Amino acid sequence: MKIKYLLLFIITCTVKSIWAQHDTSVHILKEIKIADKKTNEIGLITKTIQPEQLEAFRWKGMQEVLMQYSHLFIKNYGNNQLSTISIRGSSAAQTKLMWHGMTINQSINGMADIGMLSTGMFDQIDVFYQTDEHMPAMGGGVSIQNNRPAYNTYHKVKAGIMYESLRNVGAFTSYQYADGMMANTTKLYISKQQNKFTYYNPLRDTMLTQTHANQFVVAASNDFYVNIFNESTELSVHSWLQYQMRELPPALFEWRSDKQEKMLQLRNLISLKSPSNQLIQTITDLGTIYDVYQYKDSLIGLQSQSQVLTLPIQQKFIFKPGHHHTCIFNWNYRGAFMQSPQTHALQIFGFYAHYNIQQLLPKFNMQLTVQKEVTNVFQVPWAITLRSQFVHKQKMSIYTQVGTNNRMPSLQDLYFVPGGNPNLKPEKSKSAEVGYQFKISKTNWKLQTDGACFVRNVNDWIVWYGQTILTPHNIQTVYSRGLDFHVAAERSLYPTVKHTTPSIDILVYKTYTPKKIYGDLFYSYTLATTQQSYIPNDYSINKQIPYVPRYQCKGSLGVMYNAIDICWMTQYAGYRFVTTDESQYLEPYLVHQILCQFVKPFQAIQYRIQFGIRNICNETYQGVVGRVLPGRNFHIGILIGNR
Amino acid sequence: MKKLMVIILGFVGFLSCVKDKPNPDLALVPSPQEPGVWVLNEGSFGNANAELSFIHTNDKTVSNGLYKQVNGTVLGDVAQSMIRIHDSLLYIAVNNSNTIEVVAFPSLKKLHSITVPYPRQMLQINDSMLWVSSLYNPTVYILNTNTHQIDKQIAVAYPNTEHMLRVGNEVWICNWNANVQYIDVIQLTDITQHSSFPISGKAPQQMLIDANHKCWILSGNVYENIPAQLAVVDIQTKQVERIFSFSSKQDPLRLFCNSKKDQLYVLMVNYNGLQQNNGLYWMSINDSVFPATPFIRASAGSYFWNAAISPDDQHLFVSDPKGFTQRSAVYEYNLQGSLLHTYIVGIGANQFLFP
Repeated sequence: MKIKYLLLFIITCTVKSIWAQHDTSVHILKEIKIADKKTNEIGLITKTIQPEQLEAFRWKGMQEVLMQYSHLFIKNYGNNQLSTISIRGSSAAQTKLMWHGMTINQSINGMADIGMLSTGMFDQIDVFYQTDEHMPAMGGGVSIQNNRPAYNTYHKVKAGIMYESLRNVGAFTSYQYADGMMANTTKLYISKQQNKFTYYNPLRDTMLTQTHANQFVVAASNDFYVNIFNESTELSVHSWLQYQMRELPPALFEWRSDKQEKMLQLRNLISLKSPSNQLIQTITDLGTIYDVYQYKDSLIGLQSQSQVLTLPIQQKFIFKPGHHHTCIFNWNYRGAFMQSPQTHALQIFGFYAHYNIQQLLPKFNMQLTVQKEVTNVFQVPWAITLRSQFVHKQKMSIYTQVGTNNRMPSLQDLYFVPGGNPNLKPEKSKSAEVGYQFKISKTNWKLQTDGACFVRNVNDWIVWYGQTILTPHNIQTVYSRGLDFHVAAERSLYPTVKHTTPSIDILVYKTYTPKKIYGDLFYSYTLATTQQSYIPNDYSINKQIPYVPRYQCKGSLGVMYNAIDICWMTQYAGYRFVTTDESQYLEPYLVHQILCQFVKPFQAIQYRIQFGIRNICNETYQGVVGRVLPGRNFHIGILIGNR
Repeated sequence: MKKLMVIILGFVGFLSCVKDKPNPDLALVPSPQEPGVWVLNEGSFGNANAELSFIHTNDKTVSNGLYKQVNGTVLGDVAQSMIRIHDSLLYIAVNNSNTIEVVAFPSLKKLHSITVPYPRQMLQINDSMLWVSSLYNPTVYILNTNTHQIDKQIAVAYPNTEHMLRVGNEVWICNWNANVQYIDVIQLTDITQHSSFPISGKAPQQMLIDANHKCWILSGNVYENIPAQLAVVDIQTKQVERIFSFSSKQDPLRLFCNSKKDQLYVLMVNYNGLQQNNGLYWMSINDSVFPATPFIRASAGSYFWNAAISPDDQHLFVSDPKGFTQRSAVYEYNLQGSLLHTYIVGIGANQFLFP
C-alpha cells in the first residue's frame, strides 16, 4: 500500500503534461475602452457629464464643463473668478454642491464657488435639476466624486502640464492603486495664473490690459477604499485640501483694485458601507469641513476673515423587502460653527424616508420621499417629493415629479455684522415637473433626447437689500417655469463591430479606435419672475429676477477619427437683467470654441495632447456687470499616463 | 420615428412665450428753461448704474437714463453727490469710480473726468476752488475748477472725511470716524492753519446752519455701536449749546432745513424696514425736544434715503430707494405731509437739484 502511494507521488512529480493549465503562451486581451457610463439618469432630473466631456475640460474650471454640457447657468465674475450655479432660476444658495454625498456649500454664505474647482480633479460630475433622494436641495445641484476603480490597476500614474495664452500654467498628477481588497487614488493640481488679456473699456474709451488678476491654486485629494470584515464591508476615507489665493481685478468702472481673497478648505469624509446584498444595508458617513476665508482691500484698509467648522454626520439604512421595493431611512446632523468673526452656530438635525417601488404597475415605477429637519434657530416644515416614471422597453421613459422643499438661511444671512437678520425664515418651495427621455442605440448610430417642463414657486425668497448697510429679508415670492430640451447623437463612420482575430496571439496594444461624428444640443427657456413682494409698490412684480437668462442654448459638434478628436462648441445666453425691475441689463452673447485632442498610445504609455481656442470670434461680453470675460485665447495641455 | 419627431417638435415649439427684449427707459432731455427737479441716482454698489433723472413738474413725468443717452456711456458706480457751479456746470462725485465727472448743465454733455480717490461731498469755495472730501482717506482734496487738477491736499487725522461747511473764512470738516469727537477747522486765508473744536458725539457726518446762526451737527455710527447725536453749536464761540441724543435703535441719516432755515428736517432710517424710527421728522430750530413720531412715516418694508424742499412751491421731495435693487420712488408731499405725486426715477435716488 505504501509503495502504491510512493509510485503515484513519483509519477506526479515527473510528468509535466498532467499539470493543469500548462499552456504558457501569452494571451493578451484587447484593450477595452469605456465609451459610456451606465448612469442612473431619470430624464432631466439627473444628468451625468460623460467621461469624454470631462476629459475635454480637464484643464478648465468646473464652471466651463457645466456651462457647455448642461442646462445650468453660471454667474461668472471673470476668468477663474467667483462662479455660482443657477438651475432653472434658482439662486446660488438654493443649489447644492455635494462631494461624495456630503454638502460642501460654504456654511458662511450657503453658496458654492465652482470657479475654484478644477474639472480634472474629479472622475464623475452629476447634475441634478430637481430635488432627488441624492440631492435634497430646493434648486437641485451638482455632485462630484472620485470613484473606486472598477477594475484592478496596479500603480497607474498620470501627469500633465498645461499652458494658457492668458499666461496661466497648470500641472496635474495622479497615482492610483487598486487590487481586489483596496484602492487608493491621490491627485494633485497646481495652477499659477495671471489671467492677462486686453479688452475694450467703454467707460474710458480705450483698450486696457487686465491687471491684478493673479491666482494661485493648490488642490490635493486622496480617496481610499478598503474591504473589511471578511471583505464584505467597504470602508472609504476621502480627503480634499484646497488652497487658493485670488486677486480681484478692477471692474470696468474702477481705476484700480487691491482686492485679494485667500481661501483654505479642508474636507474629510469617512464612510462605512455594509454589503448591499443583505436585507438591510447600512451606510454611515462622518465628515469634517474646515473653511477659512480672508478678504483684503489694501486700497481702503479693509481686512476680514471668517472661519467655519462644519460637522456633517449621516446614517442611511437601505431596506429591500422585495425585488421591486426599496426603503431608505436616513438620519443626519449638520453643525456649522462659525469661529470668526463672531461665534455662532447653526445646527440642523434631519430625518428622511424614501420609498421606491418598481413595477407598481407594468412599466410603472414610483418614489416617495419625506423629509423633516429641526434646527436650533427656526422651524422648518416637512418636505415631500413624489415621483412616478413610466418606462417602455428601456428606451423611453416619461416621468412626473411634484414636491415641496426648504432652504435654510446661512450663517451670514442670520449673523452678518452689520445687517444680518436673525429673524429670517427658511425659503419654501413647491415644484412640479413632467419630462421624458428617449434613447435609441443601433449598430452605427445612437440618439438620446430628453425634455422637461417645470414649475417652481418659492415663498419667503431671501434677498439682500441696501447700499451702505445690506440686510437680508424674506421679501419675495418667485415663480419659475420653463422648458429644458436636450438631444445628443453620434454616428460611427464605419461599423463598430466587425473584426476577426486569425490567431489567439495578437499584437500587444493593437487597439480599436472609434471613428465617429457626435454632437449635442442643450436648449433652456426659463421664466423666473417675482410674483409678490413685501416692498410697497414693488416695480419688480412680474419681472425676471437678476442674472437668470430667459434663453440659453449650447451645442457641440465633433469628429473623432482614430487618435484625433476635434470638437466645435458654441454657447448662447440671452439678456440678463441686473436689477429686479429689468431696468438694467447685460447684452446677450454668443461664443464659440474649438478643441482638438490627440490621444495616442505608445507602448505602455498613453499621451493625450490637447489644444483649444476659446472665444474664437473674440466676442466682448460680460458675465457680471463690469466684469469682462477674455477674448480669443488658447490653451495647450499634455497628459501622460501608463495604460 | 415620426412620432418621436412630433413629440420633439412639440416640445421645442413650446417656447418663445416671452420675447427676450428689455424695455429701456426712453429719456427726454429737458430744455434749459423747463421747470423741474434734477435727481442724482447713486445706483447700486458694484453695478455702475448711477444716473441722472429729471422730474418734469409741469406734466408730472420723468426722464430717466439721461447721462447715458447724452454721452453714450454710463456715469459710473455710486454717484455720491453733485454740485452746480457757474450755473452752467455740474460736478458729480462718483465715489466707487474714483472720479468727478464734469458735465455741461443742463445739456449733460460730458466735459471732463477728474480722478479723485473715493470722492464724497463737495464744497465750492470760490469760482476756481472746489473742496472734495474722500471716503477711506484722511484727506480733503482741493480741486482747481479751471484746470481740473488737484492743486492741494489737506490732511486730517483719520479716514472718511465727509460733509464740509463754509463758516465765514473757515471751513468746518466732518470726519466720519469712530475716533473723532471734534470738527476740523481750516482757515481759508491760510489752509495750513488747522484747528478743531470738540463736540459731544463721535463720528460727525453732516452740518447745517440755521436762522439763529447755530450749527447743527449730526454725528454717530449706529452699526459701530456709536449712538447718534445732534449737537447745536454756536458758530462764534464753537460751544455746544444743546444736545439731542438718540437711542441705539435710532439711526438719523440726513439733515436739511427749509428755505427760511427755521425748521429742521431729519431723515431717520430703519434698514430692516420696520416702521419704528423710520421716516422724516421735523422740528422747529427752537424746540428743546426731538419729536417722538415722524412727520412722514416710511411704509413697512421700506425706508427713505434723502429729501429736499423745492424753493419754488415748498414741496417736499422724498426718495425711497426700494432696496437699491430696482428704480427708486420719489414722493412729492406738501408741507402738511399730504402725498401729491409719486415718480419713478433711477436706482438709489440720493440728491435733488432745483434749477
